[in-house]
Amino acid sequence: MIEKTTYQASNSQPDLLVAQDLRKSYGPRRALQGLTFTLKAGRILGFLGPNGAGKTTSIRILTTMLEPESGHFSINGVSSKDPERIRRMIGVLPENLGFPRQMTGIEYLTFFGRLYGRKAANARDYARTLLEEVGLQKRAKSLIGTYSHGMRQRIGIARALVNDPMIVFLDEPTLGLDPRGQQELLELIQKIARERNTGVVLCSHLLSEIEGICDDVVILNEGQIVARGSVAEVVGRVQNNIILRNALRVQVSPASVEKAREVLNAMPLIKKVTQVGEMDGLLRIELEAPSGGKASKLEQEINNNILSALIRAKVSILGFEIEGGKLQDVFLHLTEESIK
Amino acid sequence: MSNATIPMGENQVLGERADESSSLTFNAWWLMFIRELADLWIGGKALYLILAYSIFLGFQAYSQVKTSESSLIPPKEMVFATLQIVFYIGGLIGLIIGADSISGERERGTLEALLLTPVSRRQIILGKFLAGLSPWPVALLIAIPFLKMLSQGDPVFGQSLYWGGLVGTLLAIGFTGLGMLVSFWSNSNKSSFFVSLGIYLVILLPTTWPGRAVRGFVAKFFQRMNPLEGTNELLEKILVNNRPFSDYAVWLRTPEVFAAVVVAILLVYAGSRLRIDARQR
Repeated sequence: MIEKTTYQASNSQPDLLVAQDLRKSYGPRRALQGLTFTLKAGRILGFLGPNGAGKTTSIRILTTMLEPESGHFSINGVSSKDPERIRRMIGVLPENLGFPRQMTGIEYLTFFGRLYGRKAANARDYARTLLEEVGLQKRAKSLIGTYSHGMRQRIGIARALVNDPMIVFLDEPTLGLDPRGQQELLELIQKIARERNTGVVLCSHLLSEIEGICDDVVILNEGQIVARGSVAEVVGRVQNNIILRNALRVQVSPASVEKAREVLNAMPLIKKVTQVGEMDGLLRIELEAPSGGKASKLEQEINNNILSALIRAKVSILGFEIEGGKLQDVFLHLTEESIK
Repeated sequence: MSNATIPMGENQVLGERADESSSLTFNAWWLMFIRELADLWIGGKALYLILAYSIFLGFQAYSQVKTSESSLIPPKEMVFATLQIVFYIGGLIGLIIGADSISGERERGTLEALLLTPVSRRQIILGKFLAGLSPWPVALLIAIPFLKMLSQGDPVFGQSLYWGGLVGTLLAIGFTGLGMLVSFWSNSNKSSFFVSLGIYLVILLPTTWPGRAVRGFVAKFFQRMNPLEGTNELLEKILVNNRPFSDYAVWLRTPEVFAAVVVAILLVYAGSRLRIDARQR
């Protein structure tokens, strides 16, 4: 898990990206129904949603690859009606970006640097700097065709930075990477946002990572925003609704599952105990709904009682969490209907 | 991962730098051209096609010489027949390269990165188009020794170079552009190649029909519209029958119009509408 740095981008900065009521349809299907949000410099915005929620359409509109049917957006005050100027200010790592296999890393970045108007020597120098930043300096002269998937993602990010953009759009940058590769890439993204003071829009399915590095989050479902704000705000706002359902998750050792079920079923105020998914030992404990609504002192006592009872029964507890306390729970709650 | 320091806040001056750089992107087509050229010739596609063409031309010239030994084919006819092969295959190479130029980038996922730059779509297409033409002068150059040998000292050699260079260039422009247009409307290379080759056959096959098969206004109209037919007609009269160009200049219009129309559609229409997805509106 990526640790959130102590430095937080200032919330008092003016909005760099302002999207207002963006809409797009593909035939009868409404892909986007009024996308409105803002992004400030130096902040990382997580863009979440199940497949088909409209994430890629949003990114394509915001990167001028697609025209919205209505609505508009601006980047640093430049209107979306001037796509060429917008393209000068953004960097993009699209999903499934391809690379010319016959070019070396440095040639590739130099070429794109020149397309953004850098002179040959300057483009080459900057390409070297970028390769160093993304940790590919030793492979600068290797053909991109020989790069691993992780290295290609990193050179893709370097390409997105050749014009020193104000905003970087990253569409599923960690897709297909091993855990170490994911972690390294997320650290790099965090570094880009903090050190360059660049706004980052990060589309990802890795909710724990989004929660770890993003300052703000937009959750899309069926083309509509279902939650928006800082990660803490979104989690906090939705958490109350989820907690009304009063559920906990306990991870016990597989050998203790039966004993744990026995203990829990014998306790008062426990409505149901179920196994979660295929995972051995992960139990979901549903409590009777409290009369007061919000998480109360009584609930905390129940939680303590559950833990005490399990410990007394010598059940090995590997994990314990209140359902709804994570971005993943919020995401699943908000997109439940479309997933069904 | 490196600990290199990223220049903080450098992008704050981007607005100014972007304006300055706008004057520099005028040569983006040249950058595209160089990149495409390297891709075609170092990557191998053009190289392999030219290699196959050279081998085929060698066999064709050899068989011409062998046949002429027994049936005394005049050098002029051998030069004309070889020149036809040069045009047909040169045009086909341009068509194949053009057919891969846009749909291939779509398929490989490399087009989006280009479209995300501030470079105009027209410059991207122009660079690709010019690079797509590059096999033609090479093909003509390779044909020179064969034409020289087959002409056997006849002045038709010089004429064949002049007219072959002129008309062949028009055909190469037309076919390369045609392949690019098909590629512009295709999302996959497979469909782009299939449609391009289909169009090529529709243009090529009528040139193999005997003259008596072309009867009636419609047939004659299509014959007149066919750039390969126009080229054959013109070159046969000038190179083989020694007729003056002025009498048959009208046949040059067909390849001229073909090249001009294709280039106009490519640069004016497609040049402003290049998208990641061919079906995108």
